[in-house]
Amino acid sequence: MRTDRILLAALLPALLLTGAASAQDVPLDLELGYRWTDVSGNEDMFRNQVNEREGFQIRALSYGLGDIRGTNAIDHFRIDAADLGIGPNGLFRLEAGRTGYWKLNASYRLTDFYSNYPTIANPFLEAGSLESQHAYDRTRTTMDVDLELLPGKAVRPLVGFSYSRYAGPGLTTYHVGQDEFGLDQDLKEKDTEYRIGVAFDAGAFSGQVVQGWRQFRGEETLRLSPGAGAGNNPGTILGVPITLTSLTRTSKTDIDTPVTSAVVTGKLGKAVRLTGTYVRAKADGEDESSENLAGNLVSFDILRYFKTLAEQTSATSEALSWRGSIRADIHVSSGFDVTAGYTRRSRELDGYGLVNDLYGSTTTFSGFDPRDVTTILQSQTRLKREEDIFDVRASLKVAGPFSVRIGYSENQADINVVNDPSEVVVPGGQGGQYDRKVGTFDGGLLFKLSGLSLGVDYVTQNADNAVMRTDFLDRDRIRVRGSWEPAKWFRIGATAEQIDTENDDAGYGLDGKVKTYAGDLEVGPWNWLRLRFGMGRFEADNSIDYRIPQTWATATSVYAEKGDSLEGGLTLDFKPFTLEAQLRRFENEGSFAYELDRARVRAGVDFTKMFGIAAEWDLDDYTEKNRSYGTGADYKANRYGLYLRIHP
Amino acid sequence: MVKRSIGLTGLVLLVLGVTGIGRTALAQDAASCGDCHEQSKTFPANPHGRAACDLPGDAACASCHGDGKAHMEAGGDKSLIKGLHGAKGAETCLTCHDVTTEHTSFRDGVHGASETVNCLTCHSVHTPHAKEPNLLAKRQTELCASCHQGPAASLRGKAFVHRLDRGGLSCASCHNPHGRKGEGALKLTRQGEMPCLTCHSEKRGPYVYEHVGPTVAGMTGGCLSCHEAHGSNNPKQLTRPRIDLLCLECHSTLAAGALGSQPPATHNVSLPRWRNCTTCHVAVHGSNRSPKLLK
Repeated sequence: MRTDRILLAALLPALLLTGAASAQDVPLDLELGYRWTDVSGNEDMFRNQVNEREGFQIRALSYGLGDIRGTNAIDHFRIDAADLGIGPNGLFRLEAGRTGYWKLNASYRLTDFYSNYPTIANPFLEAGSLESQHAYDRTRTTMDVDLELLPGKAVRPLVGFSYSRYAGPGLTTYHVGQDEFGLDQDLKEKDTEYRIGVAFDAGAFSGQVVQGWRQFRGEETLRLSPGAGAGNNPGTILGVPITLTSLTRTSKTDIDTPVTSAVVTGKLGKAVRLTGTYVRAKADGEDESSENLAGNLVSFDILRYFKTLAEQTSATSEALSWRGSIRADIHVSSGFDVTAGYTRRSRELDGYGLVNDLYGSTTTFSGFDPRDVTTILQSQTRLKREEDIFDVRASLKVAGPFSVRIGYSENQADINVVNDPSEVVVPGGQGGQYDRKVGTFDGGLLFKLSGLSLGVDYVTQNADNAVMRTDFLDRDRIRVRGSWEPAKWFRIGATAEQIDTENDDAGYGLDGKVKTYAGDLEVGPWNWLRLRFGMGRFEADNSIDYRIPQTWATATSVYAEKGDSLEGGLTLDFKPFTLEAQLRRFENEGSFAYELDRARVRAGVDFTKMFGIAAEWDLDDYTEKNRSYGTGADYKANRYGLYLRIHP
Repeated sequence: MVKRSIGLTGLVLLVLGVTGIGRTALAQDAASCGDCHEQSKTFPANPHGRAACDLPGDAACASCHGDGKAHMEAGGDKSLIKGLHGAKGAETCLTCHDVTTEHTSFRDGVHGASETVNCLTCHSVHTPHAKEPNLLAKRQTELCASCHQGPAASLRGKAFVHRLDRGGLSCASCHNPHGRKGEGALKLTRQGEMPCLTCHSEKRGPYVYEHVGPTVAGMTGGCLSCHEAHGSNNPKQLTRPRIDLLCLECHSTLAAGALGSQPPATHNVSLPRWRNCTTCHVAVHGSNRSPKLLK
């Protein structure tokens, strides 16, 4: 948090320079106030989906001065903010600069993350518990600052900084000694990047080169949760109840990644443009972890009972990623363009892990031979992935009311996985050489005449091989769009899309079909009134064969979705009164059936030229269907906001 | 949280106080275009106006609209002035904004200038939306939704979504509207990774024991193997509601030659304890400590 404040404070001088402002192009509009919440039912599910909480916030802020050339340092700036305060998604953005001298773009985001789903990591769901054993309540703070000097000039220095912090408490589990135990988790992760570079524009050639240095620093502390010592398994192992009386694990991860990127574009005459790109990132990671636990536990690895375990792990990982590409854009004639490119992508990973375990007070399963036992696990992993991609595309954009585009691309991926024997669960299927070539043909036709627009897109893909079982061999997508806007006050549009995915080779049985239909209608008969209606249907039928672990029999995993959405809304702007209202309903009859009704009303009135008030009401009403645990995950959440508006 | 709110509010109010919120008249030239066109009075505060601030008289207007002399002499005949509408009009914008990189092409990207979609479909040079950046004509999500009704209805209606309607998240957080065709015109990280890692950077690794290495567009592995980026009907925006089935769809040795192991027979998925794979395999995104992703 201290770093956040320093970073925010760093933005202040740039804003102070605007003191002599003399004109504005974005009038000040500040809205601040309080939000109340009223949630009945499962509050965790509400927070999973919406996570709006009660408290103070800056609901909206915008202000910009676009022409302040009287000052020497700055000629424009603009700030925007939304939902800063109680969150869950807050934004502050700044743009400032002096034309021809400098340009600054900065943003600050605050995002709250919450997770506690009844169906995730919850082995007791069918016994009636709706509490997930994996949950977290964390905040991510993100800041990006980019400064360009001498914009528009032949040589332009670039400086940038990015910062991301992700931290907060959580619950997780640990599988040890033939049981799983709940743990309290404290996580702090920080990702920063400094970068400098230069952009240039030298006649026929332009481009930029940027060197960045990224650092990731992570710390995690885990402790046995109060009351979790009995574990998840109510039974015994070899007649012994498995318990844990204490556990502490601390771990630290450091990853340093220099990133180099360069792009150069050269013009050959007026018609041809060549672009070359090179990006290289080399990540060096180190990870140290220390764990101590005590209890009554069993290990089948050492074929013993044990009472304590002290574990030290250290790991190093290196990942070298690079990408090089060359592309030609040819402007054949007005409205007729051809582009062709070749890209090579590579990622090479080398991992080394050392796990040193000291099992204390061990005995054999017969209860004899007490002693401490040490085991050492040394692993080396390697992954290399290379992709060669080429594509060629042509578009004809001014052929009367028609525009046409066609393209073909091919992606050849070669993947080599060398996993450590310690990773092998069941022999086969985890390491080796995997190749896959995917050819993609796509075409599109657009038609526009007066207010009528029609479009069709078709993509067909064929692969020679599947690397993962869910990879397709054939996939086709067709999408049809249409809209009619005879006047500014009337627009109707619709989209229909179908995607078919297949791999009917023996042992896969992959068959997927996704259909989406959506349409909307907007009517604004008067300037002060706008109405909108929308509806959609989402259908999915996917199936793939799999092997049931405990019986080795073949079964089919079936996933279905049949969702219908319906929405309507109005915007009324009858100064000094404004009103926005929306109603939405979504009903899914598929594998995870539920209904979700949403309503939103926002009313505002300006009392004076400078002050106004806005009131908001939001409703989310979520109901699950056909659940073994009944209605326990349902919730109904009302939120009420009252905001003071200042707009001098 | 309260400190956070107060601190941020204080900063913003301080800044506004110092900068002064009064308005004064714009610096104006006695431009003849301005005799009829009100826009020219506010144009100096427009990014294009700033870029053209050194041009004399009507030259700033003429840099996009051409010489207006005949237009003025004909009493404002629209046919005698250059507009920026349609694919041909977009050529004027491209005179300066013809940005071309590996992933971006203003001329030939997914929204490359055609009669149906062109610069003025999304941007308004003279009357942009007051709260949107880059001279956008309307709110960004509203603009995208006017053609992409499917993803829009999904994001607005489904239960488990990236919420675009509040805070700073928008379509352009992940997609590049000027991106080239292919890979969903995604806004890749500078390193060329999926845009998911821009926010979820802790999933980047590298790990000694990787599950699926960060990749570009889910051809093999990657975030979209398990998650849906837009709206999902399943918790955690997963592609399947049941974790065991999600895992077993890849982790089966039914077909020889595919990457993915088979859980041992001790994993009896008929019992609740074994149906939640991630209860034990907590490090599903990768691990430095456990070959079986147990921690």
